[in-house]
Amino acid sequence: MSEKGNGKLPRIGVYICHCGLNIANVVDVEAVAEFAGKLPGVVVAKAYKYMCSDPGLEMIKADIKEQNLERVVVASCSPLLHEQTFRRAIQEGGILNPYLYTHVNIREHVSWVHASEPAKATEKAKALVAAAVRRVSAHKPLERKRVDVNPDVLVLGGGIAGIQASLVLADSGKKVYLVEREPSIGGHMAKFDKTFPTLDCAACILTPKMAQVGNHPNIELLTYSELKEIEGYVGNFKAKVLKKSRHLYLEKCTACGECAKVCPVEIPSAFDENLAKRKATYRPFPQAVPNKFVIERLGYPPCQAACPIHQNAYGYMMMVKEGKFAEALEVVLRDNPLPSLCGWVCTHPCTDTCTRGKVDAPLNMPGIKRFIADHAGDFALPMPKDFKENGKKVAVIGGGPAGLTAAYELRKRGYQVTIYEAAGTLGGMPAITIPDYRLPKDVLKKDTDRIAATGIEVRLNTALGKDVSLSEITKQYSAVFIAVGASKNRRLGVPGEDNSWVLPGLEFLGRVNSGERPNLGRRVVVIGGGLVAVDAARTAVRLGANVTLVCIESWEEMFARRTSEGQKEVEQMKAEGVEVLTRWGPKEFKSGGIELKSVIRVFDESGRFSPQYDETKTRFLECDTAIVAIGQAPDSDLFKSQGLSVTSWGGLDVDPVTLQTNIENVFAGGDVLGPDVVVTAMMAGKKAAESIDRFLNGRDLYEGRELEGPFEGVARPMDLERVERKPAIRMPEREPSVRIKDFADVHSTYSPEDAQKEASRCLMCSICCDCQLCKPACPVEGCIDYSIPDEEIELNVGAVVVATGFKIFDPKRIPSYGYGKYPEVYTSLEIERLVNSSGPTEGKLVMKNGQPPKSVAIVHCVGSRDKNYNEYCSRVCCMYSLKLAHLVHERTGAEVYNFYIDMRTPGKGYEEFYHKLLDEGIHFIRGRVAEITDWAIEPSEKGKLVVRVEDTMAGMVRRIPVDMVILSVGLEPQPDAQDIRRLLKLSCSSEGFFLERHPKLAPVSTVTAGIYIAGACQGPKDIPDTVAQAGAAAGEVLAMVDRGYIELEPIKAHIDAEDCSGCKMCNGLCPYDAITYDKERKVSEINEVLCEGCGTCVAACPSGAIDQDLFENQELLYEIEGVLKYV
Amino acid sequence: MPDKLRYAYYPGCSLKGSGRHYESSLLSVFRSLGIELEEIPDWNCCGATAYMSIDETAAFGMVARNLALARKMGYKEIVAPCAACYLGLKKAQSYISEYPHIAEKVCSALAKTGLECGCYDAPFIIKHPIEVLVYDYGLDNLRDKVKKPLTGHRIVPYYGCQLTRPFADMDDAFYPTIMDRLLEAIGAEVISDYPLKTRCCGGSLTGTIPEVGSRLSWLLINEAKNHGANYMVTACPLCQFNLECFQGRMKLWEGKTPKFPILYFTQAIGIALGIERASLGFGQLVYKPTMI
Amino acid sequence: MYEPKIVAFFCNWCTYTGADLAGVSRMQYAPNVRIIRVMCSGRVDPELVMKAFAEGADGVLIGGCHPGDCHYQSGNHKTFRRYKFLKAILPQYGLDPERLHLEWISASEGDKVRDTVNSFTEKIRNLGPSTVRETLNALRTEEVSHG
Repeated sequence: MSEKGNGKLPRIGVYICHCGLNIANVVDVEAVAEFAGKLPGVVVAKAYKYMCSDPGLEMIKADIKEQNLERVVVASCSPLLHEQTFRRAIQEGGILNPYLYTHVNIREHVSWVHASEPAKATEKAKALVAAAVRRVSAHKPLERKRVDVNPDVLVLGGGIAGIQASLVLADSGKKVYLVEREPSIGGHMAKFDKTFPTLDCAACILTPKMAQVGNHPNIELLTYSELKEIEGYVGNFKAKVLKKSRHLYLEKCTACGECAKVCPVEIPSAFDENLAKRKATYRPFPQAVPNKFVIERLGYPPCQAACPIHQNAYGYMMMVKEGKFAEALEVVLRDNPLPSLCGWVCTHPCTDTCTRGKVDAPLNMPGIKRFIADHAGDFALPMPKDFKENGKKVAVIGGGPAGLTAAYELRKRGYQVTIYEAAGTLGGMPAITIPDYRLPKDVLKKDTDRIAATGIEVRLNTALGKDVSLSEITKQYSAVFIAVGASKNRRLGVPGEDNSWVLPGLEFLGRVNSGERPNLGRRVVVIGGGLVAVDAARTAVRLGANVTLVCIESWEEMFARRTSEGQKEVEQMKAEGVEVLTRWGPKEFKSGGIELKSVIRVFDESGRFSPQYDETKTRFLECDTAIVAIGQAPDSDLFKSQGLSVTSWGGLDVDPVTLQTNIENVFAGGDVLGPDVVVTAMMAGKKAAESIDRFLNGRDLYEGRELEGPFEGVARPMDLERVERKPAIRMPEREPSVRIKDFADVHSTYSPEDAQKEASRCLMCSICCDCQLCKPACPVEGCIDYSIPDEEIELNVGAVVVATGFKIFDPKRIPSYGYGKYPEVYTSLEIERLVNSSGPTEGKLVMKNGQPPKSVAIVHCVGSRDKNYNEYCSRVCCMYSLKLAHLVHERTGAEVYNFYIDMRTPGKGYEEFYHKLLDEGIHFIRGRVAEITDWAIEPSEKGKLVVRVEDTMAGMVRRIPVDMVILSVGLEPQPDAQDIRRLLKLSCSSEGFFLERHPKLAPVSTVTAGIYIAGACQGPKDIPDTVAQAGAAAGEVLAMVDRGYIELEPIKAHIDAEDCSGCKMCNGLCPYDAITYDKERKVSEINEVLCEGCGTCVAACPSGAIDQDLFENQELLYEIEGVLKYV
Repeated sequence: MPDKLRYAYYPGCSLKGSGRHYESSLLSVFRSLGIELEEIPDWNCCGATAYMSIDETAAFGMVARNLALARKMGYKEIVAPCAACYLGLKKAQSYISEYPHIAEKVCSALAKTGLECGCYDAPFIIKHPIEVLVYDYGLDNLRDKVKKPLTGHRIVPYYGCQLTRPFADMDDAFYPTIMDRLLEAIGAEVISDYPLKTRCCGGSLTGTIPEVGSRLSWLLINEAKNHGANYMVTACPLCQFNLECFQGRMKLWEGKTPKFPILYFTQAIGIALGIERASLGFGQLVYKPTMI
Repeated sequence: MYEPKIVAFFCNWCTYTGADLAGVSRMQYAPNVRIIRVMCSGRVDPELVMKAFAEGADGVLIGGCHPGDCHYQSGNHKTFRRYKFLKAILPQYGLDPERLHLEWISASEGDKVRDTVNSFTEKIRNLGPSTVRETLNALRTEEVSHG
């Protein structure tokens, strides 16, 4: 039946392989052959010992000729192993097209997995053979497509493997792109002191090779770069590589190191295994290739990012730490024209995000800023070097923080600015209402004067709407910024509020600030929970009253306590004897006091402010004066009168991004949008200045303003638990009992020493602090440029060599070994650095106390050969442990104990090296170490580390006290190995190392043609093996590249235009966009070059118009039929 | 505050015998925190005795019976204060769910006694009181309840061998800190770097090779003293009994009886919660901390 | 006793290689599964699955790369959609949807090949032989005729 359709069957030959005993032991191969012989179309069926051997292949060829076979089936091992072999054979036979062949896997899929069930295995083999026979009859001759190969090669990873592969390829004239993510090539080997077993110094053999790479005309070195994307196929890959900015020009950098000298930042050096420090501008090690520096900038640190005006707190901290106070001021003034104001009263969101805050206490950034300003005394605000007037006039209405900032920012850009201020002095709210003990007038005046001094016209006592109207102003000026603040006292709206003894908060503060000392009587009640209320209360205290502060919020909800600055204020207020009464609201002001009603809730479920009271629950509070400070509001009537539109709750209605009002050349910000704090007002000033500048120059108002305002900053990875605790240095604070007697400053400024101490607590989150000291320090003109962006480049290559290396096991995962707990427990890599003459101790092996150890334990197999961590053997540990044992013994004369499970020293000269050490008197104790502890039982153990181990030779548990412990940590895949695997479509073995195509026959190839692996990324191995493998990989690449072309399997899909209904179903499915729709002919077409042959479209085509060579529907249907039909 | 915490309670033999003060202190602490324990009716041995080593399957069977009884009460979680029971129950359960052939045996055995073993249902969550307090009740809530913080009490938290091994569900197998945190929450000065937290208390040897056993015990106590501890708290009746009652033998190593107080962690918490000593079973302690 | 016949479609890059690994590691599993290799699990046309059942398969197993690991980027996602679809329509042919199973198995998961084959074989054994071949006879001959 199924024969019909294609008339008579082709003549088929079937060959069953014994594979020695691999198959024959389980599968009854003869029976299978006999069975096959009876299948329709089969004219020859034979079993043979080694089908893949020459005699086997010859037999097939002969049969093809004599029996003029038209199809061949071989049942042997996996097709991934020998399919090609047999195809080639029947082709060489000269008669058959290689694709008139089917391969059956009866070894990996049958004999090896059903060893105990011969009968069933044989049955299965028969079924699979039947399937192949049925399938092959439908096969058609196919031609392999030839594709030219791009000879250029991409090498990933600049360790010894990548270096070796690159050199081999480059020497043979190929163009090589070597991509390394660190700033220098060299990898782990560059960290080593000596190499086993020859003990020649790693640097001496590595650095010349590194230099060669650096100078090789055929190698393009891409350091500090990472592979981001790769597409295409063997011979024609397209790779996207991200070149991270070094913030200097490579070709200009002479590696003189002047930049590093002035860099104030010091963080642990990864190259020195964090045993030494390095600068933010650095080069990993002196022999680095390329021998260039890099300025590592992660972006805004948390403090700067959280600051509405992005004040570079990190930068001025570093300057103060260095004692460079003048430079510190420069850094401050770069973003902030009101340093004193902010230093004294800013609510400093910076401190709330300070990383140090997660360790002990955040840095006192405002305090330091205040110190900088105080210390600097008289100074002027910086103006741009290339400053010039642009002739345009801008008016700023309101001389508060918002207005002042805007005025200065506009002035810097060359505008003629006029400030209109209603009051008799500049400064706005802070000047009028903030009491002297918090912000002395003269301090604020200095700030405002400096701004005026930049050439800004100031018109005091000129109120908008009273003395001048907006329309008049807009006539004279090209643009206007309105920042008149929120000056209206909110009213309670309860009976008796208009009594003479009930004072509005702002008015009261204003009077006291202007020198009045009103008599408030003995008992004063302040109503309100915000900062103004707190100011009022503390002021009242200073006027000699007993003060009670009543607020409707609970202690936790209290408005003032929402910022750390506010919390400080509240604490100081309480210290000054102010009673706080929470969850009570005024009901009525009666003679002699206030009746309060209890509060049920302040905020509703959605967190909105909507207080509810229990009118029945009341209490009476006697007082002589009441001060109402429940907040202030913008003067909406004023705005309306000036033709400005207003929001439902009375604030000015502006565009949140541009601050533009309904009048296109009028902008507004600060408290006019609703009451807020100083620093947000300053942000508004900056934004407005930017908008106005864009507006007057016809530039887009919205584009690229995402980074305005607070966001989340970046911090380098740190183990906060292990960060050294450093208690905060407090600013001197006067005793409450003393300070309440006058209005003088509560604090006094830091001493330079204290300031430096406090600043040096900074954890240097974002590495480069943007102090910009290195630019002037650099002797080469225009070398350093902080604005250089990261760059993405595209590479076209024919092949890729992956040599991404390994990472060491983290011994913290084994708590009982005490790494990170006991300072004298080290990883082997740390010791490599310590014994390295270019390392942190110039090669002196000393303990943290500077003394050389008298006894050292080396623990083998840490993280290796252990079910709980890695089951595999890391291969190199025994040998490097021996090497370290030798070095330690040689350098310090210490007693060295090796604790091993088995000594594994296979390799040229390795075993000999082991014996050499035995002769040197190194101790070897066989047994896995149970624990390392500082618990001393015997006096001899006091102050030492005790290694507890079962000595399996002596058959006893031993406690061996030592000064220093070296953990011979195993090798693990790179943490991002999986990402690389996905990127390159590789496979990984279960432990995460890259999988070779065949463990023996294709050790450096992968399942993805054109991608090769070398070195420890494929599995733990030592330097000789790595170099050998790198050479092999390079060889494989050359073999492919030099042929000039590759042949693609003919597995592409094709559309039969006849049957195509043009439904376009397939177009979207193709992952390679190989399918396009031809509008004229109304059918879809497949681009052969782009098609990779997955067959997804075939499965999807509703009209069966698409088919895939070698996996045709008919072929697969036959295979299914065959596999089920006969057995 | 967590909503009502209720558990099936498996006391085990010790808490009815040598460890009565463990039970009394545990129950009064839980009562004052409003945590409910309902004792499993007609419970039997947890199998931790010689049984486990002689006939495992039988031991598992005995545990399964306890579990079955608890299941009848409709609980999902069981509290087992004795470290040995805690381990025995966990072990049995994991074997039963991992090895069908064991489950089969156990089921058929229980069937004969007319009990639903439920071997194939979702396994119970076996909890130690420490887990209940730290994970379910919450340290912050506990802090709020403290009336007399144990300020100035230098305490060694001793875990012993069974609490965290082989099942390290509660905390790290070798360097647990869960009890440390618990004691800090009640204001004590915890000696967290005590290196012998999980070292053998000698209990398994005091009967068989007394001098070795008592030396192991003495090492623990001696080291505790070296760290300037006022007393040690344990969470295991065997440890407590063994460390406290054989101090006489330690003359051998120290020349005199150490007279070092060994408390149950529940007794310490009880004090901090302001529960009177009588209902914390202080009367049963051989050596009492001077500060309490 | 009844031995289920199970047809498996394994993708060339992950699952088929995984099955090879199982072999190389000499893992032992039930001999009931007969593997057919496709380049990508995305090639598995519902028609092929129905064909297998029509030809008397008691169960069909599909093996592909883990999501995100597909050698052809997204073929396995398409497979998953078709799988859901097949599960939905199988009952209309009198087939228990449990007879069809999809598993993501990577090249390094020989053990998963073993476990999947064993558990699926057990499941099919318990479901008993599929009777669909007879009921689908008509469909079958028709299909083959236009082959």
